[in-house]
Amino acid sequence: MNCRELRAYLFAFLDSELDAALSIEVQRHLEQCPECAREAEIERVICRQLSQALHECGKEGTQSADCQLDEVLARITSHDTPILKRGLLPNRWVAMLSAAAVIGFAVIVGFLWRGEAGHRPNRFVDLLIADFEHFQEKGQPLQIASSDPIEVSNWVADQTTFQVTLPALTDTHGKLLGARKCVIDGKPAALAAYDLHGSLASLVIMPGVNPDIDNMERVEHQGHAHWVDRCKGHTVVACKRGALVYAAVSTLPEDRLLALMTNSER
Amino acid sequence: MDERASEFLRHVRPLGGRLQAVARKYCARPEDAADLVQETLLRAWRAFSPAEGPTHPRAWLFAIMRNIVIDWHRSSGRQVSLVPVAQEELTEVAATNRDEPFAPLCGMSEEQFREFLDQAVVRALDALDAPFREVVILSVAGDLSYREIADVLDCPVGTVMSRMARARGTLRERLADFARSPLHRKEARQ
Repeated sequence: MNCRELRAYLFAFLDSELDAALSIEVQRHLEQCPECAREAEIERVICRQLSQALHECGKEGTQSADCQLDEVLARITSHDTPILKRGLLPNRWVAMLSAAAVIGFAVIVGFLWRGEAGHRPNRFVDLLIADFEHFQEKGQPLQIASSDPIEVSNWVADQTTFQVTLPALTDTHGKLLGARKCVIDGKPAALAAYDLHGSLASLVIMPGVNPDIDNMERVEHQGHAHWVDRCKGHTVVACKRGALVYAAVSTLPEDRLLALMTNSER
Repeated sequence: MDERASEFLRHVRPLGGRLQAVARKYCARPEDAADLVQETLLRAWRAFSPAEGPTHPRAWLFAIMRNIVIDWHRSSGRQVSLVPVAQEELTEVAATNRDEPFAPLCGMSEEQFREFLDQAVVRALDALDAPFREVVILSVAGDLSYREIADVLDCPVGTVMSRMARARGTLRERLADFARSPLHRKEARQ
């Protein structure tokens, strides 16, 4: 690791956010390079001082954190409707907001009734969502990190023998983050991760056509058949390409995922 | 005290100081910061279920706090000093300029440097753009990991990492600017 590379990782190293292998490399470099070691020490001092200043600043003009917390916690855990010290709304606003809340609730119930209540259990969709949540929650590292769809497509082809075409996105729509191998329903698959409008989306590519796909809602989009399902706040959009199935999963609405799939057809 | 209340307190009590420190940076006035902490705890209590329990209590609480700040900002009833960034803007700030060299801090001695930081570090933080300031505040004052910050901001961990690197690099440059400024030199002489 050289000094320039170290600078890319220094902050994550100081925040203990690097994996073990990289941490060892950074540590080794710092032991050998007095200039970088001094930079790291300066950063540590800045961070310590900032932390101290922010915690001091948090106490300004208020009770101590413990006092305030005890008071608030005692009130909210003993009554379900505590009275805020400040910011009470006039009664007519409360009435209007209550009416708006009732209408809003009715609209949401109606929406859920149409969208989710009719949802039939679909093992294929459940597997994809579980895999997406697992990927998101565990922060699984990508095995190739690149925004170049050709490079990542070639990597997937090398690792899985799938001849894939990953979508190329413009910067305004988001970007490809990379890919990793995965297993869906006991079969080898590949997962490409995208940052779409600031939200994570996964595009899983797997061989064979799962029969559950036909239980999803069929949608024609730009002359191609797609299958859509929504479950647990997630959207799944799938399509068939030769012997492969492409399935995109995200918390984004289906139009964003359909646009992603369309890009991979070009 | 019932089981739900004691379980809630077990999750929340250790985080009081951090909630207060972060709230103070979201709000322009101390009174609003106190209300923000109170409202956060209230919403958290209403949503809390001991059976399920929050998987990441810190990320959960700070996400609630951030949503309240967004509500306050939209309703314009409160003075919000740090406006959380909308989803659409996230990709625009994700780029990192990792090749920038570290800015020098004018060859100060260690003692001078610490004294200078006392006066300048919060000012330098406040000079950062909101998206960068927010990740630093959640990390330093909220003591959240990058994963937890990503959960609060609802963005990928990589975005947090790149913003953090850029924020800390810029913070360093701001400090160097302050150190070079004639005003600081005058204060230092006095």
